[in-house]
Amino acid sequence: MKPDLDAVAEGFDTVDLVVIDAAADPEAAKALRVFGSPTLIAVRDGVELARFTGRRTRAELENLFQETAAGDPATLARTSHSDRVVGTVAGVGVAGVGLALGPAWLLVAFGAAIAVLVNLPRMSRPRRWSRRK
Amino acid sequence: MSANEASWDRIARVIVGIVLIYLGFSSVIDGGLGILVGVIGFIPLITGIVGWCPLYSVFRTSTK
Repeated sequence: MKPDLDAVAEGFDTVDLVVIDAAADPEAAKALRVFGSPTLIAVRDGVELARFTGRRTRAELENLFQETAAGDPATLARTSHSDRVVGTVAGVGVAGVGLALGPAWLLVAFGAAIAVLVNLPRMSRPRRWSRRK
Repeated sequence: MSANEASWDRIARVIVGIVLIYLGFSSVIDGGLGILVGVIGFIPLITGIVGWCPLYSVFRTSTK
């Protein structure tokens, strides 16, 4: 993902890209509350707009930079593309099995809930960053 | 709890889970064994959706 990240960052003069190697600097990772890799954190004017862990497509990275520049957290914190695909397949599959079995409405509802929940935008709670001493 | 499953792994788990749930709760497998198979089907389904396998964590392995 790093080559895509570098390529996207070059197109945005107003967004600074800071890369931290969590393995080489565990103290920084701990201070930033990073528990998985890769973790992307979008910060604007000292306020954390969004963070998510996992690989992102180039299009999602471009969206991240655009929204960070605009400062809109609502569209930033979306579930990753792979999560949405897997969740939708699982939800539709379970709902389909539920319909085929009678229908079994509990399974239908469970599947529908999965498919809807993974496609909802996830709001991240804005958190103000303080400068490290 | 970071993801430790690759995309192919997650898709495979979801498919296996759905098949087991169908086999378990349809008349293909009768009785208690059917219910057991159906309930077990939720394990790969949920671990596939979440992208994290507890057994991988225990054995410190990953398909990612």
